[in-house]
Amino acid sequence: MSVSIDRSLDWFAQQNWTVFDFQMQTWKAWHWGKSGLIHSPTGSGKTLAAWLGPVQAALDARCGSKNQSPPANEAGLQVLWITPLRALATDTVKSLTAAADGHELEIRIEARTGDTSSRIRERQRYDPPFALVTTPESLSVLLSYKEAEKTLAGVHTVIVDEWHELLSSKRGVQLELCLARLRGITPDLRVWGLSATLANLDVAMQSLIGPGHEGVLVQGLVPKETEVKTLLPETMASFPWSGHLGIQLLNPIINSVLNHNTTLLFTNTRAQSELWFRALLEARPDWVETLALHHGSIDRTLRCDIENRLRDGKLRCVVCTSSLDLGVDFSPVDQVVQVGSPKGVARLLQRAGRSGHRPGAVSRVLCVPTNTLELVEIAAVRLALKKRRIEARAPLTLALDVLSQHLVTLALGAGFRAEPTLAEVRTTHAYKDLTQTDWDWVIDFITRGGQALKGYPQYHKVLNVQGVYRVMNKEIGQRHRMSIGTISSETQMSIAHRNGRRLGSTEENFIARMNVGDVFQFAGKSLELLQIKDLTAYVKPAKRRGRFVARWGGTQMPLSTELADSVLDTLDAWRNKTIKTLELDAIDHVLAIQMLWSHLPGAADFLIESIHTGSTNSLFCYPFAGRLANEGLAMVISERLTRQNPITLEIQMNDYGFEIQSATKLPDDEPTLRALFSSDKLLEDILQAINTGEIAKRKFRDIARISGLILDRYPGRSKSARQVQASSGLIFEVLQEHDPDNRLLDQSRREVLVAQLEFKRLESALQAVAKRQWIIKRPERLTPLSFPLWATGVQSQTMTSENYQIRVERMLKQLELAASK
Amino acid sequence: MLNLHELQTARMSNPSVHTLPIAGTTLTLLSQRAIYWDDENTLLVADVHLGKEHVFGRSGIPIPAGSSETSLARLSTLLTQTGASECMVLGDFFHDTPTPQESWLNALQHFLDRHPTVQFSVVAGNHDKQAGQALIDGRIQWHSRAVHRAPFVLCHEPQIDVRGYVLCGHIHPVVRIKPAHQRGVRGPCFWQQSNGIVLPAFGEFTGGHAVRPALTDAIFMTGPDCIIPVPVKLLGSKNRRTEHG
Repeated sequence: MSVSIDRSLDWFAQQNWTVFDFQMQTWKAWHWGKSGLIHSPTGSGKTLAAWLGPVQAALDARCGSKNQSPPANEAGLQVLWITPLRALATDTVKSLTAAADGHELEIRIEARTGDTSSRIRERQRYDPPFALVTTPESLSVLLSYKEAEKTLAGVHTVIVDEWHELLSSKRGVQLELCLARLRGITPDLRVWGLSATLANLDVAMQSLIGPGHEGVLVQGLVPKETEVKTLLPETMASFPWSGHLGIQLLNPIINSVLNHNTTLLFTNTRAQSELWFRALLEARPDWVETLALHHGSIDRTLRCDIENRLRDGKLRCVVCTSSLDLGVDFSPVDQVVQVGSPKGVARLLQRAGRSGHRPGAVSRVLCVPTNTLELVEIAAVRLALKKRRIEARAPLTLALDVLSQHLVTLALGAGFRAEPTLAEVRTTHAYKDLTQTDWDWVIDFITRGGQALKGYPQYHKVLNVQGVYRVMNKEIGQRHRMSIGTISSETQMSIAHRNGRRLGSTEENFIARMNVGDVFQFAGKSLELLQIKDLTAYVKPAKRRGRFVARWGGTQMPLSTELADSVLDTLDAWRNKTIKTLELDAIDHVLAIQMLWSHLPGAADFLIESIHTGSTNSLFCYPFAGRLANEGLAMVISERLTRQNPITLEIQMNDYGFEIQSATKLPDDEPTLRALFSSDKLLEDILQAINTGEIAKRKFRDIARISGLILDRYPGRSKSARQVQASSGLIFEVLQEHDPDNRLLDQSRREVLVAQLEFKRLESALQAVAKRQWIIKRPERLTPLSFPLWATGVQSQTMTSENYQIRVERMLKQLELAASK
Repeated sequence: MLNLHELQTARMSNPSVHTLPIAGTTLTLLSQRAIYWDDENTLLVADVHLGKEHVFGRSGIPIPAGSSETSLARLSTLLTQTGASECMVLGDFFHDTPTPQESWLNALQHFLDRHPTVQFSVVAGNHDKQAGQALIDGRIQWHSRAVHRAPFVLCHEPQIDVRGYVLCGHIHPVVRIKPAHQRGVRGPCFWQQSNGIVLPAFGEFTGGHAVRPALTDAIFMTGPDCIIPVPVKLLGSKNRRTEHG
């Protein structure tokens, strides 16, 4: 055991801190050479639990202790600290350094992220610090250098912060692969994860430390109390049945902000945060210095500035998105506001935890509904919290795009041999079931470009040089390094002032639709578009209020299964009068209307509404399976319908259900509907639907980027790179036509199935509704449940078996009709 | 070989062609993204981008080969169907200087052999590198600048030319039709302006650029076996050119 644990105890005492049991447990486990996962709420001292083991060992080594746990060589890189957000790196370096200083240990701790200058990054490769704070992408880039193994040979510990954030993403898979490589270099590597509470902690830990490895699951502090309150409209009469803005509640929110020191106001989308910021500032121009807007597309320097002012208590209110979900301690924050549905229990807990960021303090969150049904969700989230129904996060598996990127990275670094690398890759949770066939395909893909590339004698991305796979072409190598990263994105267009000062970025399509002279809202400012050049939109401040608000892609999170179930339970409880909350009281009349005009569904029944509106017929079905699985269900039903007759169907979905709309009559009798909802041939039908629909093509964008089929565009890229520019949709079509067996197409379909449409959830939803009592209603008008589906009309999909020309001409007729109104 | 009369009869009932009387002559827009000029028995296409997938392959981006061959096969079918005696490419015939082994060069050779009497010419576009022209069969006649063939000016990039009505490519125009509450459709189109027509890209492996036509323009959308006139006023103000633009 380390003698230096005592030094930590002394330091804690000096600071007047208590050492928690879980911290001591982690230190000891670390000294025994173990790996593990610490789960504890934010602000509970997880960082020190994970960090001080290596610090104590370094002290021991310095004091000449006879302990064997510290590594023999004192110089060189020893600890990697992985953070999901590069914005957190600087703060992490600060807090790690403070702890080391407290132990009177002089070591270098540095950040290495996409923001680190190339000079420093270069130096770090040859003269690394004791600990490097980095992101999964930057770690991957580090592996792409020839001397990577030498640089990383002394690393004995990897600490992964906020592992729950990375876990179910491709970035998590990328990290799993990097960790496997590090374990290949140092077999007794210690890997420690820090995570918030999840329902599947054991899986989270196994995917981090590698299946089959023994780990310690450390339970940190018991979660803080969370108090959920709701801001109710004064009168419900004019409160909308649908919508997602919630500006009606602006004035009470302003009052609530005035009653607190610092408020974080979370919205669910970036566009929504822009609108809220504008509304607040228009109502309170005197807040111009103390109100700020923070979201992921605002330039990093501006965001840092806001974070600093927030920490210093100089801001009254920050309107933000998930960009402030994580990390840094903003102690002045004493109120968290959530605008719109929280979508999940864990997410609301995370956000609530941003206030009272001290061990033991109660977190409070004020929920602001944007439509009547969200009031049910708020009541439901409280119910779920009481029953501690927290969501699980499943790690991804068998992503061949991430694997091919990783293998090119290794080939670019020290080079790799097939057999040991396959064995190493299979030590990860993500690829433990990787087949030889898939492996061979990936090797073929990176060396010869896949089966279909026989026609390319010059293809030479990765070469097999006497059994070692290497990248020999410098340009290919550089391009690969630049494109490492698995976070997907649309082509982004920079927004900058005339003098070049950057404000942030937005979707290219958004800017492309504007004219020079148009005014739009971005980063909380009204901006006039001056010129577009090299993927940069130059702007100047405008006095006018913009018509447009910047827009970003990305799908919204679905309502979690836990919360959706809780919604049904809440509705049942309301019907049975076993629950009484302010939220449900407020919408009593709306729920009553739903019952009167149609039916209010609960956990035991399945409601379908068949409604005729204007010239269209719609089926509204409510399986309460979350937005994604609802879309999948709608696609299956539509696929089955289009097979019967030539017909075009439009699909809309939300978290509760979906709408299938058609110009012709749709069946609405129970036997026919039951047949349409059958579980028979489910997989077959949904794959067919995915093929005919656009959805696989859309999903392919990420895969194409990660596997190197499309290059990111950015300002200043040379002309020659433009010659190899093509949209992912086009590449998808070319592959389908000329290389239909390409595994990446398969992966795309699989991802659509698993991630995009939540196939498992879809399957169980179908089984669940089959057992419920079916209630088919034919209301004369739209009901509180159907209205939001009918009114949103975004996110729609089309399934068609109609002749192309007939369909287009019908659309033109519809446009004509709309124009003449 | 289809004679002119047959073609005209077919046109009456055939949704896959659209006849446009222009400057005293007639152009037939074809759903296969080409124009047939009756009086001169000439087929016009733009932006074929042959060899594009090979340029990707050379740069380490694994796009399968074959789209160039498909483009050539489609062009061959069109030549047979129309019986055109001349084929004029309005620029970007190929994507970048090819290397001699590329498979499509062979396919091009076969294609030319299959149409021994057709006269081929290309108005060079920004992608048709001078160096690459030498690798391509000598039967193709290259023009480095716009060709005046009254009443038309045939060129690559859209421009105003006092000599006549401009037929060009370069933009790869596509149009999107989207009624409310529907996802809508998007497809390559002919874009007719007062002083010329922009052709859709003919090649298989070519992307598109959403056009923003003025109210006085005309749009003809191409789809499988159909060509559909799209009234610009129905496109919605965001997709139309305004005074600023």
